[in-house]
Amino acid sequence: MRPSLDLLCWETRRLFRTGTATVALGLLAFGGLVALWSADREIARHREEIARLPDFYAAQMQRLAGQFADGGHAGYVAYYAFFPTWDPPPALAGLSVGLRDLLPAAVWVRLLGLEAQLYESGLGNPGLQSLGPFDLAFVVCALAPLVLLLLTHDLLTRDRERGVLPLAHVQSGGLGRLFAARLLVRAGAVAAVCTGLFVIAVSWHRIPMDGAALAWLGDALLHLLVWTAFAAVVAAACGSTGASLAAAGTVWLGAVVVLPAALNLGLTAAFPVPEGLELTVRQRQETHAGWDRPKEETFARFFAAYPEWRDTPPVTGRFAWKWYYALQHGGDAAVAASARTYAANLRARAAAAERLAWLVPPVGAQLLLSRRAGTDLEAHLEFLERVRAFHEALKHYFHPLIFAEAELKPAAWSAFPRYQPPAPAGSAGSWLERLPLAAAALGPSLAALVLVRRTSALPS
Amino acid sequence: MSPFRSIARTEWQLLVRRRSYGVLLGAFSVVLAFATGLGVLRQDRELQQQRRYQALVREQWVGQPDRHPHRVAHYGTFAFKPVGPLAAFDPGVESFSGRVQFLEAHRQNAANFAEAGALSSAFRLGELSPAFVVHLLLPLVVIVLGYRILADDREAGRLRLLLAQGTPPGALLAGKAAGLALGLAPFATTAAIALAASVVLGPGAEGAAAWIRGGLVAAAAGLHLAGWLTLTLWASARAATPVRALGGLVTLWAAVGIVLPRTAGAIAATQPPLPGKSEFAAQLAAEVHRLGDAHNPGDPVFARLRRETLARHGVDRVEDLPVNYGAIVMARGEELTAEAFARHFSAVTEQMERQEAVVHRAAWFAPYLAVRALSAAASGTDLRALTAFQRAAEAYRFSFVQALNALHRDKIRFTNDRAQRLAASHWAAFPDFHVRGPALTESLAGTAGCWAALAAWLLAPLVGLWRTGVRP
Repeated sequence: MRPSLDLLCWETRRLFRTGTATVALGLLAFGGLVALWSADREIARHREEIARLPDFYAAQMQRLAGQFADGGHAGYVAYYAFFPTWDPPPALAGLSVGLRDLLPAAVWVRLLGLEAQLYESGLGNPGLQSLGPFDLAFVVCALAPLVLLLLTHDLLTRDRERGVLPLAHVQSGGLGRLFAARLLVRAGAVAAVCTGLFVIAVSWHRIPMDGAALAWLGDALLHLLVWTAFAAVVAAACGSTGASLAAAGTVWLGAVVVLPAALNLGLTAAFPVPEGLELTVRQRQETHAGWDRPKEETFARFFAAYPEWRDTPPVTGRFAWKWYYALQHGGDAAVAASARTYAANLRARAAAAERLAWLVPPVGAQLLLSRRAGTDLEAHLEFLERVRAFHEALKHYFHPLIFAEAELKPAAWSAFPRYQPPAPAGSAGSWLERLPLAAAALGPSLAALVLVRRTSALPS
Repeated sequence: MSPFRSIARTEWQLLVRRRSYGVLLGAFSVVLAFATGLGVLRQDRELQQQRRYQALVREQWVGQPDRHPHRVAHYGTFAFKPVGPLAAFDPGVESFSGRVQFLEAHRQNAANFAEAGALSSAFRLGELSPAFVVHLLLPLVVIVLGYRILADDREAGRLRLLLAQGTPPGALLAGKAAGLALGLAPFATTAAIALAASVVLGPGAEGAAAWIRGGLVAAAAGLHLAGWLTLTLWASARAATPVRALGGLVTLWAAVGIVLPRTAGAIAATQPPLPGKSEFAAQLAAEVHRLGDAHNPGDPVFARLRRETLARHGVDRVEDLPVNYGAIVMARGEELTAEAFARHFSAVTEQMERQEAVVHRAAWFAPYLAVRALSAAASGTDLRALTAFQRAAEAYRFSFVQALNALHRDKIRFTNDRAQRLAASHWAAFPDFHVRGPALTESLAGTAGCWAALAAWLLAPLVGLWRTGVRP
């Protein structure tokens, strides 16, 4: 079924002679450019916010310097000082926004109980968020398949309806060859537009062409390969243009619109995450109940986690900062299990989505692309882990000062810990992750092969 | 039998006898039933959980031991976002906003645990709600059932014959439209049943107002579908072949249902972009500091407060006041913070509304955006319902914090302030947080443009049909 070069050239010219292909591919390219622009705007918003964090921090510390001009207890200063932590957008975030438009780019934390500070929503317009992000991943997952199907569904049916199929069969040296040439040219055109958009994005957003970027492109093209196989089945199985168009529409609607939405709804219902509310309510209750409990209880819990302070003098008065922060720790410790369950449940839900993704290629592709870009749920959960680690670093810095009842003057504040994010990175991932998507292409490819052979055996 | 009636009847019979008709109706009903069932289930679960925690939080509030009132103000409470009246049918923006807000003194916390942020990114392809099925998928059913309605006849030469036999073109068109509408009736009925089920079973819906809201959703959806019906008729009347009519209609559907909404959202997001969360917090903090700094003894606002308070009671020192001066400072500080927050929060919500207005203007090009906005507004799950909740939560926060400050002022002595406690019996007197969703009139304010856009999408193809008539 290998088509000759001449045949490919001829089919390419034939494709662009009709206006439909030019218009469809042009619209795809235009949509892609809008997507690149829109995703870039969203990510730029995050970059700008992050770039201004040092200024916001400096302004806060300047205000505090006015309040504590003569110095203040380390615990008192720490009560007011918020520290920014942030998740710099990875280079590929402009290609797959993933969940970034929903989640905060920066989280400000202070020495108080961490669990009450971790889960705030970002500041976004929910009315726009509900429309969905318009990024290149969406173009590759939803629009490109539509264009591909529109261009390929009548590969054979049109000629058959015109009665020129036998002629084409003879001239091209076999129907299989003709079919392959036409399919290849159309899929190639769609892939070329997507690759072109990728190249534009890479040079426009100055994305380094590393393993992750190439893996992103590879996954995108693999997804198009799956759809080429779907398109081959539609084109080979249907007897008339009406039928092939209807089949193409049904396949697209099912795989891109209905099944992902149904999958999402099913997963939400199957994996509820009630720990969120439970965690917030319990943490507050524990922290505040400590005010009415003997201080030894609070300290016992604190010393279990930080034994190095075990031999410090007890608090006899009504209030001491070291007791206050031991109390805050108690609140976090009481919900540590809930917090772990919460993250584990989110991961279980994501894992279930991944397991089912090979049934619905656009979902599989979305997951892969946002993972490559480092904009998926896992990336955010890992960011929260880093925030936890930074909060721990804050404790290690302030505890010695607080237990020493140290007075801090503004001049000493420059030594406060600063959050250092790791260099943002996408992930090139392993070949194993692509297997489900590749497997999704296999079935339809074989089916198409059989169908075309049967058709070419009986030229009508 | 008049030509209109016979054409309508024939068309209807042709339609329902098609093999694909039953398959389509079955598939549509299954998908819609699935979406409605899970929609009701999800909202019900959400409401049960909220009720449980609201009761628990109330119990914890009332059960507080003897405490210093400012301790109680920091203990705070939670506000739970109520489930919108028709959230089971159209969840609107509900998944995209935090569900619970911690209310405490001095600080306006953002809502926590937005559902959407906790999902895998694959879900960004869409949320399968009954509204999604009716507003986005049902127009496709109209297209699939109707694209051949005139184009087939023309291709087969029957149209020429019919017109030559003296069938009035108007009756022909009206008959075809009526036939198609009859064929669509079972689909519309299924949709209406899903809507009614959401009103009856949905946890947020209460009373007659919910039925009125349901009626408005139905009106918007009906208008939207009528638009697609006439559009399909017009395309079928004009296209050279049925396949071309189908291709054109499906392309239009994808453009106005999938591509344009996202494009509109992308453009609206830049008109102008919202401040980042850190920027919002930094601006707010700077403004609160500028308005008055309780920690600065030389601050003019608090110096005047001190002067006036002393003068009112005719004493020279705050220690001699019959009330607790610390609490008076706290209350004034709370006022300033709340004032600054209200101003900044309003600026952000206004900006969101401006962005939303861009999307509403885009509805003139994409009727899906119009019906979507109307449906969410009538369901009480739109942006406005959300900001109403946020405002109510802030008002409640302010009122209980100030009530605690008043107790602090009157019942706690200035000297050795923090060591004193107030009897636990005081806490039960505080009202629980309760918010009503926006009234129907509020929900509908400003939606005239969307109704007009839907009407325009119905009128345009009608005018087109009127002008082209039936080409043989």
